[in-house]
Amino acid sequence: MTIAEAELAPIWRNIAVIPRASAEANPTRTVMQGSPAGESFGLDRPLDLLGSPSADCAQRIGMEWVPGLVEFLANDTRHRRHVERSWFHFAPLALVGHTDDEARFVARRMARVAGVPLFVMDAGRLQPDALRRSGARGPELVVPPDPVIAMASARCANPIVLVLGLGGAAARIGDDIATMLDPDAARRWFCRSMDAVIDLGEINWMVAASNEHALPTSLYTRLEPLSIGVPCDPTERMLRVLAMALEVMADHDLEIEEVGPALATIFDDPDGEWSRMSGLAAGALYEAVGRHLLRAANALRF
Amino acid sequence: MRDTAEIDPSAREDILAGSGSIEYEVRLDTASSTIGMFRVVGRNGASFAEYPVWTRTWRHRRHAASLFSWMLDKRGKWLLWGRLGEVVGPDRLLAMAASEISELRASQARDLLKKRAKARKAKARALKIYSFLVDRHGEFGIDLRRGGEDKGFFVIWFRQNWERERFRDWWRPQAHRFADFAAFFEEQGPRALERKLLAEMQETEKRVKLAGLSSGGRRPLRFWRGDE
Repeated sequence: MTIAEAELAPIWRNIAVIPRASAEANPTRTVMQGSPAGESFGLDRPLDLLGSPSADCAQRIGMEWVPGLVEFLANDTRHRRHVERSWFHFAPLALVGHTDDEARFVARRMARVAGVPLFVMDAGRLQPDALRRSGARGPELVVPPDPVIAMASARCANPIVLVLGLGGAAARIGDDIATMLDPDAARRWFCRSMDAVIDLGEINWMVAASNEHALPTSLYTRLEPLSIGVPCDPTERMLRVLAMALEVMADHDLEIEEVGPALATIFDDPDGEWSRMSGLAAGALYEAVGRHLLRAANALRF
Repeated sequence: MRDTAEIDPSAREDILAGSGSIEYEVRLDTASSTIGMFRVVGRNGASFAEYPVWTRTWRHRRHAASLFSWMLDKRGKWLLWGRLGEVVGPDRLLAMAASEISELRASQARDLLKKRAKARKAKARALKIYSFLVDRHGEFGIDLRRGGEDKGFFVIWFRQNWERERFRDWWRPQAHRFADFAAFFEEQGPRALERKLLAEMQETEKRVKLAGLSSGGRRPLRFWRGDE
């Protein structure tokens, strides 16, 4: 066996940074069908379908500490081959874990690796009939629901929409979200405020829940549960810390030249600092890793 | 509904290549003493495609071999090493490996030295010969034993305690000759040694009696303290 000389090209860029969407390569889709009576928010023009074409997300995601996530993405893409989508898409997920921070971390990481926009929707703060497709018209102003606004403002037909706070929301909200993420119903979703039919079928849904059995039946039957949280295995914990560090680097525009030496100490962890951090919940971990890496970058600068 | 969404067949092959489970593997090329970490994409249990993450060549084959065996023992960490190595490179990992290996070698050498020192001490102690009183049911003995052993190699038995005491009066000043007795035992055997000891004792008793230092009775050497 002979080993070719490895190209140490900056592979990390693929992991850490959103690939720039090049205009000519992106497939597009017009999500609005027919012409609306009122404002169309630009949805009558084609929207981009972003994201890396396929399962290389499953490889690059580096989130082996979430049990089943990589298999889910790989299987999903295997299924997707028949449909021949060349953009990022997965079946609706339920993120079962303790806190919203943890779900937000997983969703951010996936959005970053896949190169699609992420929209966080707080279901707990919605009016009970905010997502209704029909109903009596009251005097109040009706605006398009959050996922539609997200599509319009990102000019992207397949953002990741993370639903938080479903536990505190009205019971009807869960059922309405179920109609928005149902693969058949979502293709022709009637938007009451625009008076038009919109295709929500390419949205990537993630629903955070403290417990999958606390979900309403309409959602429970349509979601694939993934349990997120701090893993027990120290190696998996370190993978989580590494993912968080990449997230911090991307958020703070840190270059690998600045934090590389500090990051490399994950290998042997001489002061035990990384392993102390690795048990933290996502919110505290983000703070701790951010402080640590910014300090390391500043120490190099002075 | 699909505007430009269809993908061409050539791109589809790339998509096929991209999907599948991923793992990292460390491999050693013994001919060039090169260690490389590879990202292996596997599908249905077979490796499908592989990309080198990093490779490093050593001047000496045994350095590469010892590093590689150290890495083989830590298979559970390859995923982390691969992911982290893609970001920061292998330098820190290899430095850690080298220091851990040298630490391991040092501790092994320390243990070996300790073991050798222990064996040497035991050997030195075994060269010294001691004598102890041993009692069997109704019998009274005096033995010769090597240092660090709990059983004598030679025992001389007496029926009565006073017989042993008489022998001991002569035996005690002979402590400097124990090693010679042991050598004699090795050459001639226990019976000859017993005879020699008793003969020497009686000869000493006679000599002491002639000199007028004997205490008489059952223990003529009772007040004898050896020759100058």
